[in-house]
Amino acid sequence: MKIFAKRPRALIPLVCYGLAAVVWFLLCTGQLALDGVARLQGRMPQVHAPLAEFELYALEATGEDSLVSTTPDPQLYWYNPDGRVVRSVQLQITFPRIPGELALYYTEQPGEAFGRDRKVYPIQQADDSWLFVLPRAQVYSLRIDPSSEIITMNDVQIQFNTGYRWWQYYLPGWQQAFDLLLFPGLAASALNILAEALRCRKAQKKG
Amino acid sequence: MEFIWFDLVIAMAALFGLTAWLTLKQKLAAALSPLCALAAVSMVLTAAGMAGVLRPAALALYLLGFGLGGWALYSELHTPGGTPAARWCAVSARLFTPGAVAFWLLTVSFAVYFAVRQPLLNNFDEFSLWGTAAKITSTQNVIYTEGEIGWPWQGTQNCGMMMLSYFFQLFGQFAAWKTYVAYNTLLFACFGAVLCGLKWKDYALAFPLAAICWYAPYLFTVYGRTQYVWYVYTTSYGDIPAGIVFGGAVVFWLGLRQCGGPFWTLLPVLALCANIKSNTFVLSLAAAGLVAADLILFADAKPWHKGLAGRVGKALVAFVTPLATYLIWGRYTAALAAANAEAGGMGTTSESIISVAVNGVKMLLGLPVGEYYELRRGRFVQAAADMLNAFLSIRIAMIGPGVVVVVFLTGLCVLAALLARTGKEKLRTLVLWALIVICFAAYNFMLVLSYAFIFTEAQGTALIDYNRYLYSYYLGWFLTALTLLARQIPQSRLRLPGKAAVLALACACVFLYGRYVSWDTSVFGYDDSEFTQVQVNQQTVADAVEVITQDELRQGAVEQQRIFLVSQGDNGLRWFQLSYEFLPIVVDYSGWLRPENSTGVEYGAGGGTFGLPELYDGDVYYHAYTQDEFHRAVLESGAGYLFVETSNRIFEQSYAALFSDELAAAAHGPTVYRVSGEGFELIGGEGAA
Repeated sequence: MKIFAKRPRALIPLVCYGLAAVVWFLLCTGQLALDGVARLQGRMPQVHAPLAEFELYALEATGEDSLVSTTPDPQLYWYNPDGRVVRSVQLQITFPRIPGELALYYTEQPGEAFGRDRKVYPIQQADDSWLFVLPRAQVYSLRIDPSSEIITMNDVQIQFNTGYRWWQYYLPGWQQAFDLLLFPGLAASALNILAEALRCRKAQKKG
Repeated sequence: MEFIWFDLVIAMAALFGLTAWLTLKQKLAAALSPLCALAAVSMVLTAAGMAGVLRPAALALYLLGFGLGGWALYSELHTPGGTPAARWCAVSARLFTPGAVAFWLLTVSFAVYFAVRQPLLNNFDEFSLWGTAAKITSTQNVIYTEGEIGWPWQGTQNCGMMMLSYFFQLFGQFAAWKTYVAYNTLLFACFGAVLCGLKWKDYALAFPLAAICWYAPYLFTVYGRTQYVWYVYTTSYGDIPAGIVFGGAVVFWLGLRQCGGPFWTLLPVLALCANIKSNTFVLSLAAAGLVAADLILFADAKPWHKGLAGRVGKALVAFVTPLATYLIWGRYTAALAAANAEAGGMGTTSESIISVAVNGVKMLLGLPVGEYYELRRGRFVQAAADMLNAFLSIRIAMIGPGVVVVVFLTGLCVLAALLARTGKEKLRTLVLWALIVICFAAYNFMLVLSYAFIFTEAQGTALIDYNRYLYSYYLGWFLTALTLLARQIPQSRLRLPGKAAVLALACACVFLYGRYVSWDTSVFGYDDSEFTQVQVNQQTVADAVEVITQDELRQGAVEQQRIFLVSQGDNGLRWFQLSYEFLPIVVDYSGWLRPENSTGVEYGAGGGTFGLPELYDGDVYYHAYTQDEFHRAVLESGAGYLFVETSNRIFEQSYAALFSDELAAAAHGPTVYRVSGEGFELIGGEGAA
């Protein structure tokens, strides 16, 4: 503690990292609370979405829950019918071999094109399902790319708002973790320089 | 769950022991110790590998790490006087300086991150050399140049990086991600060295510097918005380490001079600098030149000539170290290549770099040169013009073409000179800058010579890999310039503007990174599907190995088997990929070096496409063998198994009669056949493997 009394600027990084942690916690809690409210109001249903709800592109339905892709770029489109909140999409598919890339794109407004800025990669779960977690955004439409191969897909199950537990709201992604390390440090450096500049100016005035 | 990274933990503990000993007992700054320790490990293992005692040497290094580290810590914590808590604090303060903490934080974070994500090799040269060499070293416990592999040519690329990979996974199973951890550790050690001399109270300078270092490899390798995964911290290529270690050697010297420590600790770093890639010899000489000039021209003592003889001696040692590394490695690989040629493989084919340099200088001076060089004089002139044009106009880094990069780096050096407190320091900084520029010119000259006299004409015309060769130098220059800047700022009268400038540079790096590196192509954002093809290969090979393992008529242990590969339509990549995946099982080169039955096709080997001469379809890797020749080629290879990874109509029409199932199983997927004098017998049933 002596060091902080002697050098108050040593406190700056602690304050910056502490503040970052608090802001992160508040943001995550806020999102968790908003989702909780939406869930209570029935705007964020945990539902199974049958394949009939999706528009198929480069895909042929071979059964109620079976598909086969006709090109290496199969896509499933879904349009939000009632402005519901979509936080996660859980995908269960049985592939005969390694399926290549699975990805999800979303748009927030009508007329918006799907692009890599609104793209999400899945995290494979212990039960072999793929979980896409969407950032806090109003989803207008979704595009799910279930594979990048010409391949058969059996036992296709798509669920909205499942598989994402409350504590996962607080877990940063890898890039976010890096950012949480980087930006408070840079901010602390900036504040330190500013504090030193102010001290020099004070000293100059006194002198 | 298998504890997959215990070997990394042990390696890092041993590394910590070595760094603790260097810091506490050799009085080397904690920020420099990791680089010295890693370089020493790599060089000791290189020497041990050449002497054929790689594993004992690696074990000895571990023992040394634990022993010396334990002893250093114990003795420092038990020195008389002071309370135990005070001694702990004193030892911690020496061990955990900003540079050392930056190193360990980055190293441990990336080790954890990669242990979770487990990236795989994914690029051509990783399979054709870098990753495969690392895997041979780990799986066979020998230097890769002497390992068992199907290449008919002798590997001659330096092995410094592969030795680090070996050290980090000595006790566990080989994995590419552990190799990446090892290589990144080396980069982070150089980054840590940049922070040498900075104290915790200088965090406003140290933190942005560390951030800039982290972004540096992106800054100088990305030249447009990335569309595909950009392999910076997930690559086993030697180009980025070559540049960072070149800069790291100069940075190490500057830190050594500033903070004190024994001169010998610089030598392994210079040696490693010459032991990363063949072209890093030139970079290591440049680093040694900078060290020598700084030693001789700018003495700490007064008058200037006091202790000159000792300084000249040290300068000579600095030069001799990379030179000796280069010459010893050159002799070693030349002997291996000669032995390989005698054994029926390929010998060396390119001119030596020293001969090329001598003749290139002769050409510049208008002196007569040998016929080999005279014939290529036109290529030399063309390469020089192309290189100049590329320097002025080809975008190589985020900030623009080479000329812009040079102006930027010069600006950093000039800023460092402006911030220097004394005239001597200003002059020293400017002299070092001038030497870096001269070395840069020399490096470019060497590249012109390489394009003209070492590479093929097509490679020279296209300035193949121009970016890779140049960014190595820019990276080294950048780290040096950053260090020159960092060491002036804390003492400078313009301390505040200096710190603000470094912070601004860090923010610029963050901005440029965000602008040029798409999130899904970065080291944090890439998707695992990036490795789909590699995962498919792994599965294919695992299935094939399973079949071989269960073959009751197999002769010898599974890992002693040799496989003849058929992959119709392969352009070479499949052969390299599968050779890598099958290790320690060796995939034979799969075909004669030169076809006995020539149809005008020069490519006679390297796995791939086989068929009857009359069915030749223009495939560049087509092996035009009659049925009898194909059978003989397989038998002569010594392979116990034939692996048909991809069959096609031509292959079936040509050789079906040689196979017990007439290739019925191979039509459905990769299939393993047992080789015999009568033909090839299906094992494991239909669709085996």
